[in-house]
Amino acid sequence: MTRWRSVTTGIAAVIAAATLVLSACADPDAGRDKIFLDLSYSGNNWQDEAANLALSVANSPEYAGKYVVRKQISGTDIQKQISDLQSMIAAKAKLVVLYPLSPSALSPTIRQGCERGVTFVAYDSTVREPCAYNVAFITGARVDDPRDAFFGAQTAEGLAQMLHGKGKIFMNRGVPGTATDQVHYETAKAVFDRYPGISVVAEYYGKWDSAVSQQETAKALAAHPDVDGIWSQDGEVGVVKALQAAGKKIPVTGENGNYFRKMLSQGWPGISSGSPPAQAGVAMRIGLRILEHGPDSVPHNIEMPLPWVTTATAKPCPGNEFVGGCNFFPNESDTFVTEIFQKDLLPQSSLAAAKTGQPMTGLKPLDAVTAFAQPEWRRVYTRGKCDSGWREGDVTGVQNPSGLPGCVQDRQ
Amino acid sequence: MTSGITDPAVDAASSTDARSAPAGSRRDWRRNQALIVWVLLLLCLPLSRLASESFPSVSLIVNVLILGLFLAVIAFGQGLVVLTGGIDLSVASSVALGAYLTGSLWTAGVPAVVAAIVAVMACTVVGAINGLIINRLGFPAFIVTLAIGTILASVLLGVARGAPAQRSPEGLAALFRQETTFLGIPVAIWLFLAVAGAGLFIQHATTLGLRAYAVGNSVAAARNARVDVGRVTVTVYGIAGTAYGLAGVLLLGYSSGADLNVGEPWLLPSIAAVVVGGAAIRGGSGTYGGTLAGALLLTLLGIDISATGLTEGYKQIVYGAVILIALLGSRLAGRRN
Repeated sequence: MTRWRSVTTGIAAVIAAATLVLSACADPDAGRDKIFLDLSYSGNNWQDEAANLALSVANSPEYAGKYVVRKQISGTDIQKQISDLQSMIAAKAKLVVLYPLSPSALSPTIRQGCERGVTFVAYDSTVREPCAYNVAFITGARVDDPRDAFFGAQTAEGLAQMLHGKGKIFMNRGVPGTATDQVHYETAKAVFDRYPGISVVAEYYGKWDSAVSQQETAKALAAHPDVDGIWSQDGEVGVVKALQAAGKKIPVTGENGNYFRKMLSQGWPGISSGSPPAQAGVAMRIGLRILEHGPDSVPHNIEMPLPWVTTATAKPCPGNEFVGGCNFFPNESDTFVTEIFQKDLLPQSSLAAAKTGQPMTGLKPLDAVTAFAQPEWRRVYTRGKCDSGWREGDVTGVQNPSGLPGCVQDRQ
Repeated sequence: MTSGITDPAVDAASSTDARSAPAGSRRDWRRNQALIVWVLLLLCLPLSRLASESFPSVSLIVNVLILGLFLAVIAFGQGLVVLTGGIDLSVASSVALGAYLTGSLWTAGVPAVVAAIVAVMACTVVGAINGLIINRLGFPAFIVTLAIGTILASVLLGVARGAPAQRSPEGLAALFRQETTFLGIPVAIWLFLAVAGAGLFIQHATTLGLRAYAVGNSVAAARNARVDVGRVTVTVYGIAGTAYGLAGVLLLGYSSGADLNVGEPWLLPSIAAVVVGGAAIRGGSGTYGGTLAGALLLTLLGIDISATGLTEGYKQIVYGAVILIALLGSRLAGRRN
């Protein structure tokens, strides 16, 4: 036992010495403003690509001399994210770009940060605190038609049309209890409910994970081998693999997995849309623009356009860039998320930026962000309430599908 | 614990269920908790009809065996650890290591079989490190495995920077296609049988298995009986690591690719399968036959509950309730003597 004690003491001494040496070094970041990137659990492709894209914007030659950027992984624990954000505020952050774990739980911390001059930009998911900026695809409209809004509703409509309005379907949902899953599900369900011939025979949670989605789909297929189509959130790669294992080829709508697009390009019936990791890069650009040129003319609610790729339009990229309308990378892994590029908001993106965080070059200041502002009638989904002068009601005439709940103008 | 302290030799001899038990212990079949879980499993199969009209069917059984394979492998490792009185929380990271290393070595040009063997061996080493720290420093198993698991997960995250997902070797993925059959039965089911056989052999027919029972019952008594407790602990955790690594390789093949989250959903079910299978959570008793039945029962319930079309909240309630019923069943079985 004594031997072990002395070993332990030795290790402790080495660690203490190392800490001293490290802290004695001069701070290389002196004179540069601090930017923090705060993400959720890392370890799946989506989170890592998003983080790399944000870092590759912040580390680009245009900004690297002025700012120093740090990455923090907050995991899936909201308390941890709150305490991480508080540390960033205490460390005099100028900008925090974050993947928020909850729409409302972070509000007091974010408000406190805003009062101390910190700019917050949330990506993918949204926060309700009014001083923060949101860059999110959740309510976004199709890139090819700005009237067609909502990932859930658009993919549901697409699936219903592929099935000619009748058939048995599965719904593969996301992480239970998250606001994003709820919006996708409710807008999709609202569409399916309009087709009397369509019946949802199984609903399960694939947790935005390909492996879980595959197992859950395999279970549902055992009970309903006669299913006609599957509506899926992220995890569609697993859905397709479960269908292939069972020898079925039926329409699937899902998000942007590389393998899914590859199957679409080989004739699998379906639609690929959903959450682009490019959002994180865009969020970083928005934040940097606010730091450089002030917040004027930057809307607080920015909608990321919804990618829209079908069996007819899926096309492999020959190299590392999105060129000639190509939209997936046949040599990348199956669960690589293809949407790392946005023609208006992140045209400088590349495969290397998404995979390694290699700094982007040729970043010009963002202009005309206002074109991507979220319309007031969709505000309630991301901010939890309507703007002043608007009240909750069914929205008609300005978006497809018509009649979804949202905000309508007060007529007093 | 209801089953009390079991004589390791007797427990090992009464093995998995009455069929393989020697005549001497046959009259004690009602005490055999593993058997009760098997009966429960066989009862639940026709009851699947309640969940879906297309059940029970051949495809249901095939799915239970294929999806149950992963749980059976992981729960074998967890079961051995629980047998010695420990609990292993490094499951998720070790499974991820097995999958990640196989995929990345294969991508780097290493033959698939070699990649899988190296990956599984790496997991064995991680398990052995768990055992070494637990034995040498005397810390509780759950906290040591939690720490090692966390460190491993972070190392993987760092190494995988930007590319956490790995592709599966083509041959490995092909094993899990239902059209890949041997003697007309999907290969995945043969794998299940092989795992079951190996697990039963290691836990019940080797000296190591006997010593694991002895350590689980009483470390002091085991020492008196000249069992090298340190060596048993390290070997048991090492074998457990091997099992998690193997599960990682299998999951990589099943999903024909995996990211670092691949092990996450299996930690709690692995403990549940062991305990539902009649093992004492404090160690010293339990059979792999019981664990196998537990793993299959939990998988079957998962499929049945999924087929009912209940909302997620109710699904979880039903799942929890059935686990409690299974526990009650095996406890009653243990008492009736």
